[in-house]
Amino acid sequence: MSLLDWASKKVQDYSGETDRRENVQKLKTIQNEIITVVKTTIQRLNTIVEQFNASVARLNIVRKNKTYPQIKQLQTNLNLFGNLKPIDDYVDEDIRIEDFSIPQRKLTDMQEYVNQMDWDKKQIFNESFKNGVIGTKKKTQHLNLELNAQIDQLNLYKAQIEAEFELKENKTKLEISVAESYIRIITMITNEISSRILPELSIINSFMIAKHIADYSEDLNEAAENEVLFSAELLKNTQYEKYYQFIKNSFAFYIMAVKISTTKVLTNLLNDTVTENDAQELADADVALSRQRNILSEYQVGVAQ
Amino acid sequence: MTTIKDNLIESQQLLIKQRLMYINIANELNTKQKAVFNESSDEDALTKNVVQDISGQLATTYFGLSDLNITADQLAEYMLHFSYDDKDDPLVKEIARKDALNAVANENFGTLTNADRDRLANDVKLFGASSGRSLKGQQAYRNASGDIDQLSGQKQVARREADHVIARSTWTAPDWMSESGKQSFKDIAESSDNFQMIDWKANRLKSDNRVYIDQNGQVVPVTYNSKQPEGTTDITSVATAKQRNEAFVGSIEKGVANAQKTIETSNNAKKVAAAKLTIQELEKNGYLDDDGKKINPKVSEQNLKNLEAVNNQADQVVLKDFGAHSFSRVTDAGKQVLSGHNVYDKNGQIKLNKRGKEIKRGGLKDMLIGQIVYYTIPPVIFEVKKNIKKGKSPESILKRIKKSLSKIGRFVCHKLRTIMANLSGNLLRNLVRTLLDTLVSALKGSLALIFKSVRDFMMAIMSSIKIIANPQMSGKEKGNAVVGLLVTTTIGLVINTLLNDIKIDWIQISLQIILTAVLSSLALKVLEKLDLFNLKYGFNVAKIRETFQIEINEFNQKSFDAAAQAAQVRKRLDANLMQLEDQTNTLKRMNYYSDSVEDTLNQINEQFDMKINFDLEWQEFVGL
Repeated sequence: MSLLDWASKKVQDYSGETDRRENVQKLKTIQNEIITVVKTTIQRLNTIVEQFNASVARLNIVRKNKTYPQIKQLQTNLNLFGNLKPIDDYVDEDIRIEDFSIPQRKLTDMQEYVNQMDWDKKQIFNESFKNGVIGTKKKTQHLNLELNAQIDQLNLYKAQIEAEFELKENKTKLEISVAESYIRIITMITNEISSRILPELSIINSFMIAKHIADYSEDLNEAAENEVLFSAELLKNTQYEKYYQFIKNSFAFYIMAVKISTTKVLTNLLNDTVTENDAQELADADVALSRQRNILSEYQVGVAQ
Repeated sequence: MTTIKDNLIESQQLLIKQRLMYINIANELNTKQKAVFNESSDEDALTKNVVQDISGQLATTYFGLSDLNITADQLAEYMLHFSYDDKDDPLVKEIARKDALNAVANENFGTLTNADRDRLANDVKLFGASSGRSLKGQQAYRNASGDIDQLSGQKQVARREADHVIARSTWTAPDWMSESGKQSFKDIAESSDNFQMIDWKANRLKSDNRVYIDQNGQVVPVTYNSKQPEGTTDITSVATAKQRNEAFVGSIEKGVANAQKTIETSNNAKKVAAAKLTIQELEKNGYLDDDGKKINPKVSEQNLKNLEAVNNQADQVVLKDFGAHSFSRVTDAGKQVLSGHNVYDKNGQIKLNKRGKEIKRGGLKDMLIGQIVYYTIPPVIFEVKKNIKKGKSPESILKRIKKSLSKIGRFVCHKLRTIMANLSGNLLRNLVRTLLDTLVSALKGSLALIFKSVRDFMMAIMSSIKIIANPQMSGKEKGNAVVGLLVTTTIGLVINTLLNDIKIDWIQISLQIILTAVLSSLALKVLEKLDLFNLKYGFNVAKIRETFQIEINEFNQKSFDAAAQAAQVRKRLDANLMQLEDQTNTLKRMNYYSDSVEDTLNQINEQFDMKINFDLEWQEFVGL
């Protein structure tokens, strides 16, 4: 180390320039860390969201191809025993549209800030020349304090990104579990309808039509002219009571199948978890924070000049 | 049992809570950082730090915090917010509360102090028999005094006598006193200060003005030539001026009463005549009040004044003598004079015996040092701060402190008197005066030395920066370390050199502490102005670090809690879903002709929040 180098190092030590460089380096490091964390986090979250969307796609296939067609068949067989309301068309459950993106503005601000702090040698010379050694020292020390504060804020921000990611990941995994469970339950119901409800129901239906014709045995034409219509309630306390229970069960399955096919049950369930109060509180707090930041940054700019 | 929705909501709430928590903590961090930026303009920041540390050391080293229940912070508050009319003195408050600690036996309680007993037991008589003594002083005084009675102020009094204010025969010295001290006592006894021209009858009645007290501590008056009354103690050599005067008044009044009795009852003409003469003389020369029974208050007051003057002179000799002598003897002597009472701990056990022998910390010596330091530092720092605010140089600050000295001295005396009730007022005043004089010359010398040895001093400061920058240490530790460093340096550099001549250890220790406190704050103040070694900067950086550490710790703890809660939610939801699937699975085993599926389907309906009303739907279907 030459004498000149040694001397300039001493001056820099004294003026806090060495500290400043270290701090700028720290700032760059933490900035890079944040960018990395943000990027990997978003990548991982998007992977999980894709899993969720895959579940929803399978759910929709079951609903559209299995559950929805059963509605028509059930209607045909239940029509005889009561008044069926008109039903809505089939709708798909929503897949998740990507809502995690890189906080571009924050990263840009961060980059600008670092550039502003990262003086090159010429700037250092100019500063020292302009302010003298003591003046430079004071200015540098203020900058150092500011840098320290900024680094801390970024460290906190990074910790928050990580913590929030954990919770988000956890929550999305919960949603996938719910979706998968929903698929299994729908499949079970659909299976019951197709394997046990529909075959029996069509037999009962045929039996009832036969009985109807028998009731009009003297005049088949009259039988054909009169609509076959039994209120299921009328079967109560008769020898056909067991049909009553079966029809009631079938109707419950029918209502369930209609609900599953024509309503976005899962989508509604997952969307309906944020209350208005929560949203308002969050918005208020955000405003408070940015106001505070502005005050602080104004103050810091004042110090730096 | 929770529903799927409950768990999903809770999971969402956790996210919101986490975000709000972050916002709060980021806010708090901002605010605290701002406070540090603002504080960099706080002039008193360093003084505060120094005072806090000094008070910490004082409190633990000298006060025995567990006994007094005073915290270091309380002491620091006292030093920082000091004012002369200050009413909020934690030490006095505590002592008032724990009276046992200062169980003082004083004249108000009428019993002798242990120091008094000690002195009485170890008295040395200064004068032998009256015969053959030099009457030169007495005669000279008589010749110089004219014909006024110096107690009543009566003029043209025919028969007056030169009376020793404190009788010659009652002058004694403590056993430890040096020969020169004893000689000074003798000189005072025969000096004009110890003479007063009084009525010859009064002089007879006064006799040698011995002071006897009864068991209740009341002065028992005696008349001429009577013996010590039974059941009394002779406390003449330790009697206060007030007690001596009481004895004097008592003698006169008792003498008058006796004379009156003789006139009324005696058959002895000679005795009656003498008694009449006594009363006549005393009345004529203004010694009695209008009723002729009690003493004229003017006489009593004047006598007290004269007694006090002589007493004070004697006290000064005692102080000087004990201050000037070698350590071991002086310690004993000092304790004997200064202790004045047993010191009790909070359990009522004696911590100090009557001779002040105490080795343990918190003993008399330590208490004395502690109290002097405790009462001296605040006003001195106050004066230093006041003058620094005016932008004075260290030299002129010193000059000003010297000017404020009597003010500080009065304050310290006043405070100490409350605590050490047994010390004679004058003795205390002189003690404090000596202390402060030494303090100022020591300060002056130390500053000169410091400026000479700037290099060493700066090295100490440089090392302090290393301490300050050490992230492993807490703020308190840092403060202690820095002050410790300054203490060693200043003492090493300055105090030992300067105070070598002072042999009395408690004065030396008190001075060391006060000097260190004042020098440290003064030196730091100067350095703070220049911030030559980035001391302030170091403090601020350290503070920003500390602030962040506190906030991030809180953040991490809360994040951890949130994650733990999220795991709980996950567990509950999984159980939920599994149970629901199991239940749905029971459909397979149902007989649809006899069993109702509604309960099972309704479970699914409710858990997935499908909003189906099976009953209503059925009723509409069947047309009811």
